[in-house]
Amino acid sequence: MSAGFLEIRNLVKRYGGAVAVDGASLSIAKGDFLTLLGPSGSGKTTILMAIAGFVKPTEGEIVLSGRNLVPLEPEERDLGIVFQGYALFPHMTVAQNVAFPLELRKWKPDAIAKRVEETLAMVDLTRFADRRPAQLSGGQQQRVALARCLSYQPDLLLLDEPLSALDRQLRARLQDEIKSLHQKVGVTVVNVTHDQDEALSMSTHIAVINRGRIVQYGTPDDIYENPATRFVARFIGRSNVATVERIETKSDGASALIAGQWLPVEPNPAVAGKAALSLRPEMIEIGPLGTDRTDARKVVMDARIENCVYHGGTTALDIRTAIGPLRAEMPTSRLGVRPTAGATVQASWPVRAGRIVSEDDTALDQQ
Amino acid sequence: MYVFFVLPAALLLFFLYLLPLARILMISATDGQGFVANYGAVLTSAPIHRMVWTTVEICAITTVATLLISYLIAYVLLQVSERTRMWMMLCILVPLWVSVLVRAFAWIAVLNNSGPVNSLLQYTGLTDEPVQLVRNQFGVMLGMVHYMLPFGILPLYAAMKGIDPKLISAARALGARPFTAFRRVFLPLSLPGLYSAFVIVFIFSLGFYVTPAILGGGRIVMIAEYIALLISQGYDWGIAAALATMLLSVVLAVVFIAGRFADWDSVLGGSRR
Repeated sequence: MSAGFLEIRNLVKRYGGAVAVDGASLSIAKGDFLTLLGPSGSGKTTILMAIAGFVKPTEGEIVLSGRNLVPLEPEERDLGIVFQGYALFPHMTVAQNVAFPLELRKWKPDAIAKRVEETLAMVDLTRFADRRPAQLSGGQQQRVALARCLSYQPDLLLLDEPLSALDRQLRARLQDEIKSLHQKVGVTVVNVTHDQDEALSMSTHIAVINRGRIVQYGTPDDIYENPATRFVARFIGRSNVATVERIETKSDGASALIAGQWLPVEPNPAVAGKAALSLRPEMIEIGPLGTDRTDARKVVMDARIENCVYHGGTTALDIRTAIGPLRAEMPTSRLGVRPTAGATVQASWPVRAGRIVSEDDTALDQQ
Repeated sequence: MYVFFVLPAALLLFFLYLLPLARILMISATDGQGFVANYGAVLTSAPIHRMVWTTVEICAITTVATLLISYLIAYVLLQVSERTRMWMMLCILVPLWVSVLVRAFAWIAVLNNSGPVNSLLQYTGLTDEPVQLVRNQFGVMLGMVHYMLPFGILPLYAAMKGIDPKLISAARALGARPFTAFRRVFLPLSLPGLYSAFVIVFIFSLGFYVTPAILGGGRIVMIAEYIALLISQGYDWGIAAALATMLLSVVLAVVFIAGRFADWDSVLGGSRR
């Protein structure tokens, strides 16, 4: 691995006997938007706070453009951090909040005034310059927090669940705003969230974290389309995951034994040890019985519809098949006649849509 | 309907507090040679001037000392573990339940010329002669500060607890050294708590009676004791009432002016918004 802009090497953090981060390694390039994605308690915030300097690593290195951060105090690292809840100074106005880091850097008053004005204009808050944070809405406070970190143009911006306190609609809008701000400013971002939609839509790279370990690292589409483990498949998006008992490879391709049925699959050499099959609901096609079953690139089986939920553009179907219950999601327009519960239909999916994943996070071969 | 629940307290306050207070005002204006003579005596008498200056000096020094020490202790309370905090709280609160008389005599026992402190000072060779620690201004101030500390610590701690610790982290992430983060963020946010602690402690200090009487050994006379002496030794009810009225005016003025900046909600246990 070549030296990246930000390198985390074998980061370990123990609290007494409890392990919060268990040997995390990461390397990101300048300009990347990395999201640390994981359930609460997975250690993602600990990694972020170790980069920020508020958590002292038990072991490991954190290197930012060749500079080892670990021995430095938070104020010596010159990073930007947006805290959960924003941590705006309530006794200062918006403009004073944004000017604060510049004053600490001993800028001249007129330079500060100019930069504050530019930064507030960038986040569209110019007319709120003299308000106190308590007089602003959640979304506006969030933009002040961003402006406060961007005013001194740090190399690295850390975001600690920046959108978790906001309602759904506002969250979607601010996701777009942060993303376009990232493109405009070109700052490298490390973001922490447990919201997979946020991770998929904002990031250039995602590190999925579970129990203090980085389970998978990649681009959003790579993570979504090629999950490495059962955990990743279920945590990012929805997925049907079935335990694979055995995989056999013959001249005409590989087959997996699932619930007593042999299904054609594409082998995944990265998986060592116990395997599972992950199948995204939207890859399953529901059709009338009697479709051609000779296509070797497709898996076809009978299915009984147990439940059918109409979502407008898509329809979700719970079906029971020979390999167990599955969830399918189809564009309503392609479904034809609305299926009824109890009806028998035919379920099919392309062989390559079924991904062989590792059953267990710890059995993963760490690259 | 609810008026009836408040009525007993209102009656009690009226008959036992407001009525006597009104009578004091009356006496200050009518007793002896009347209003002008009484208040004129207060404003011109040299012994009263000396006594007022002693009172103001002692109150100012003890208030500042109490607030400084209280701020430090409240800040430490905020940083320590839950367990240590419980023990510290106990040490702060237990003296509150000990009578002020007992505490004054305890200080005399500890600090007099043959007490343990002086014995230690002489034993270690720091002094040859016993150092006068009580029955003087220092003794009075020590006793007062000791008495008032909980009243400074508790409102300050309540106000400091309301400051989000993330703000300090944010200040440091933005480039502030720990002391700068304290000075620019924590200190300004703790000021409302400091104002309320100031009002409580300063008003308290003005009214001290037992502590200066015992630890001052008759040499240090503050305003409360002076008023008592005027009355009990039968000198002049009119001048005593005039002094009491002026003391009350000062207290009300302090409550009104400083109280406007104070953070009573967190001191009294309410929410801030």
